[in-house]
Amino acid sequence: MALPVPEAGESNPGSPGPGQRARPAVPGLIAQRVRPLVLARDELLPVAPGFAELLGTPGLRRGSTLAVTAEGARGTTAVALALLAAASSVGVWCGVVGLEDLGLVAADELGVALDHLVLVPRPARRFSTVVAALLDGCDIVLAGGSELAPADRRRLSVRARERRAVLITLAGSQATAALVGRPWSGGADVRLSVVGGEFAGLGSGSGRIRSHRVDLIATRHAASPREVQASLWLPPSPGDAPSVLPVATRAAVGSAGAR
Amino acid sequence: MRDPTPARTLVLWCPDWPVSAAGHRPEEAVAVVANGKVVAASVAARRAGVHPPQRRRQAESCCAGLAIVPRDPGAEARAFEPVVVALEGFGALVAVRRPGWAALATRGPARYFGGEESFAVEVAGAVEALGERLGLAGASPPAVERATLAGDWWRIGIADGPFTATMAAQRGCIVPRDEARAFLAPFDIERIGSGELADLLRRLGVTTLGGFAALDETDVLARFGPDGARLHRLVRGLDGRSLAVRPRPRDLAVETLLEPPATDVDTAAFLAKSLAEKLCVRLAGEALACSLLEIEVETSTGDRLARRWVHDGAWTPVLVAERLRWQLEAWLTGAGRRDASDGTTERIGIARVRLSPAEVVPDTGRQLELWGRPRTDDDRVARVFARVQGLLGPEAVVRPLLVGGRGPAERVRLFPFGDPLPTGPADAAQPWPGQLPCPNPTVVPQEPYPAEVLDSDGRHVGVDGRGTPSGVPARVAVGGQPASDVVAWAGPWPVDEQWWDTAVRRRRARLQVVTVGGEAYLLALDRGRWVVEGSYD
Repeated sequence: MALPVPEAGESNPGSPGPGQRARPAVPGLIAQRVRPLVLARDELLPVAPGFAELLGTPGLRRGSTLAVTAEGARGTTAVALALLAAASSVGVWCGVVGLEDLGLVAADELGVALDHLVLVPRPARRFSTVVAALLDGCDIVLAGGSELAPADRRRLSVRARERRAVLITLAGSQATAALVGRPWSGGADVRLSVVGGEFAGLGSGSGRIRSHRVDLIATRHAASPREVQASLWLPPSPGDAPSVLPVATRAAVGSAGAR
Repeated sequence: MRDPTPARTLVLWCPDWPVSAAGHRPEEAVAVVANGKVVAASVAARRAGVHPPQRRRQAESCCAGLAIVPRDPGAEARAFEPVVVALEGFGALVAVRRPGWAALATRGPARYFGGEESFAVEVAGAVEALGERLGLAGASPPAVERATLAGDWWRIGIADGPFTATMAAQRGCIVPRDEARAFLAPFDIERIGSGELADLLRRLGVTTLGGFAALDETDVLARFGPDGARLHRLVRGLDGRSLAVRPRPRDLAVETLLEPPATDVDTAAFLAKSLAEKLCVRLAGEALACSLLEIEVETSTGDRLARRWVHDGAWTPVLVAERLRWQLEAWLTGAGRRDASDGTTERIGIARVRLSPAEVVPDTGRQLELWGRPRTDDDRVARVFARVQGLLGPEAVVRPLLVGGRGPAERVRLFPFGDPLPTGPADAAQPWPGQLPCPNPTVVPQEPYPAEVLDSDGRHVGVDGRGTPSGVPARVAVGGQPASDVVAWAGPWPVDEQWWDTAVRRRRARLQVVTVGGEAYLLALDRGRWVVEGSYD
């Protein structure tokens, strides 16, 4: 046929020359699919925004162990539940071991999706076995209410790292003295200590408890240990979008690093 | 138990069907071979030491003069079709697992023929007569001492459920109701149907089905997973599968119209595969697994044929296509032949294929492989929880569900993991006047423990019928600890529940207190005594 075929790149004077031809834009989705490495930031489970400051990462890092402990104040259970909330609402399975008195209505109010929550309230003497088993299947395991030998703690932390799960341990301010266990923080990557707090909304014979301010100190046992202090309102006052509100965040590189 | 009573089932089993279908008699030394391996051998050949899945060369070396026949699945299906048609004369609900195995629910026909024994004899007579017509029967008349429920090429058994009935068919006997477990006990563990599980159990020292049945259910679940537990139920005679009619699951069926009609089996089977993919996706979306599949085909001349196929695992497109191929091989050629004899020259084509699950079960992890297959996330979770349930008992692993109520404890109900959560009216979302507003206590003790509420003079604080406290709460002691000062409090909020029924009527008054030590409690006054309903931790 005698039809003139326009040569590529010459029909439109505005297009780049053959040497610097524009590459077709690779859709972002494909780029993500073919990326060979799993970056550390992709190994995060979502967490409520207020915790990002404390944890030093925008989410819960898979394979890490978090210890929530009480130092003379209330609020560990609420903090632990708030840690689960964001991840469970996107369909991540959470297992809870040993907390037979857990207030599940409160868990719902703090944003935990109960349809992805499974409880083993009374593991009896199989506590560490059950925690280890759940680490195989769940992405987050919240364990509390029991004492463990240091060897078991280490073993469970290693298990969490192997299975790319997050282990959250809860120790401390149970309502009854009989249940108070030793703080379980050995081997934890981040320790969140509840050092103070306040209940808002309650007067003398009037009002009701509306929110609970929890003052936290996070100690990170990373390459550069540091302490971060923040206060969170649990649950947030209605109308505010984030479920955890940082009121004051103050980074203090200090005593932990000197140790 | 969740399992229904097993349905009485008749199984017609043709041992070495590939051999019989190839037109060989049990006394001839014949082996049917596919891919270089023996898939079936005649009685004579097996006596000489030929056994599947031997290699062809091994088989030839242990049996001189062994005739080797290549496998022809189409021919097997064609040869079995008259047998299925004969069974359909006794009851409409014939289910076929593969050529050489068909099952029939006996409840109706057995009553008609006056008992299972006479029914079985009737079926045996029909099958034997059929065999004579087709040239499958033995040359010599059946020996007198032979059981009436076994012929040269067929066996019949009746028992509770298809699994036990298959075993009964191998013996050619009828197992009375509820005696399945005792009947199965002496069988070798190989008969369990899962080679890997049988091998493992043998190494663990369990050599008979009875030995497997004697194991504890939770132990089996823990060690072998849901699939092992299913087999464990089978060997205990709790075969939940049934062939009986039941309400058809709504609109799960998929169908396709073939235009122009497919005239060869391969085309139809190929189309059926994509149809089966659609069905599998739909079933997975409903979280169901199909245990009995009905394949219905319609020809261009309006003839319809439906067959029901049973399969123990999950249906895959390949399996469905294979079943359809068997069905069509048998029928299309037969129908084509019949029409040709009528003088019709037009070739029969398949105009419509419809796949409908005749029986579905909730897919609770039965599709898990025991070993090997990569699992999806929820499968993995289910497996882990099954393991913990094996450790601690099924009630130890629970899932919460919020229900309607006022106090923090009565708004939660716990269900063992694996049990279906009730999907009733969502009364959790309904207004409950007097419900404790958000936030609820994060620690709710299983058993409320006692507390003391005292006013500034050290007197017990009570609440009168109008909900007015007798004093201002000044000190609170919980759980036997020393009293501490109250810095803030609110309430009491009276709740009068089920006042219309004097037997269960409950009046309470709730009080929130915060102590000087920063502890917050939800207290309730119940029959004159304060208890701690929850604490904010």
